[in-house]
Amino acid sequence: MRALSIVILIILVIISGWIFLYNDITKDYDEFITSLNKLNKQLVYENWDEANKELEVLLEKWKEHRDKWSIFLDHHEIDNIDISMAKTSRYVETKNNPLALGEIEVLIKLFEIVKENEAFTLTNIL
Amino acid sequence: MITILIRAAVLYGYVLFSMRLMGKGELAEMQPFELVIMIMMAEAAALPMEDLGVPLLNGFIAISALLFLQIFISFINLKSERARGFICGKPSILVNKGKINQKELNKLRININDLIEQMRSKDYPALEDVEYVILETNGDLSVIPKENKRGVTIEDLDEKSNYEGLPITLIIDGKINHDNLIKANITEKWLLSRLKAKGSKSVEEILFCYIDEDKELFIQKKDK
Repeated sequence: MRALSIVILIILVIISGWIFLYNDITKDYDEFITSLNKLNKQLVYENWDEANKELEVLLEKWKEHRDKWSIFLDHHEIDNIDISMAKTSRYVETKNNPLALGEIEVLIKLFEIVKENEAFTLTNIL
Repeated sequence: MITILIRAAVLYGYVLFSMRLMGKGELAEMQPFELVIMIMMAEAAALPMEDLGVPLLNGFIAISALLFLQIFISFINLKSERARGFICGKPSILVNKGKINQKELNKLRININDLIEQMRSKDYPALEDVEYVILETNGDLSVIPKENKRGVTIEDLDEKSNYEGLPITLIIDGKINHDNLIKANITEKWLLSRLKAKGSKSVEEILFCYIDEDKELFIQKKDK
């Protein structure tokens, strides 16, 4: 009975941990998407100064969350976001509008994948 | 490389903890569901150990889920006869009253050679000596010989045997086990005096010492 109580406790910790983690990731995801949309808007109007400021905010936010996400999420996804962030940063710096806009779409998709992978869905289970 | 080293050590610790929690039964003959858990647990531990792209936490969660399933299924097995029959299966009688159960052998896809080989390994080379052969749910073969082929017991001889009890270890590698002194109901002083009487100058020179039910000491000294 002692062993059963311990494993039930472990499973409850895992389930509650997942609920907490998924809420946290959803919150972070919303923040990143908002930030990326703002950056996208600035790039469409070619406001390079505003775009640079927005990019700095985005990079800072990513720096804050990156290590925390690495504990729970697939490191390959984190690496892909890292690479895409570096590309976006360079494209904005060199004022390459089409490539920067394209890379922002990639980043949005990558964040979507991260969120989807953690969701409790039939497609993820299957 | 150092990451793999640390990951391997951490996962080893958690798998060891899981095995201890599963109990001693897991280390002996395994039921089908236990074998499945063992194979899957090995894989769950190996994946995050080798692939640095997979978070270590994934391994912990997978092992925990298997641990939960194993203990939960064992608990159900303990409580429900019907579940036990479904999960572990039922023992199969391969030889019934000295006659080979051909139907059961065919069903289990065991040929006569395998059966005879297994019987030989259990010290019963002739079928005529055997009353029952049962294939247990854990894959072990139980052989029950005919009455006239069973070993003679003290009861058969109408003799009385002395109670032997369990020997209690008192000294291992020059160190006295004080808990066992209490269990054997003797004092350290008594032990030392008995050791002296048997020619041992100090406890340190003794490799192994135990006491039997008749309070007789067995002593083996360390090699010099």
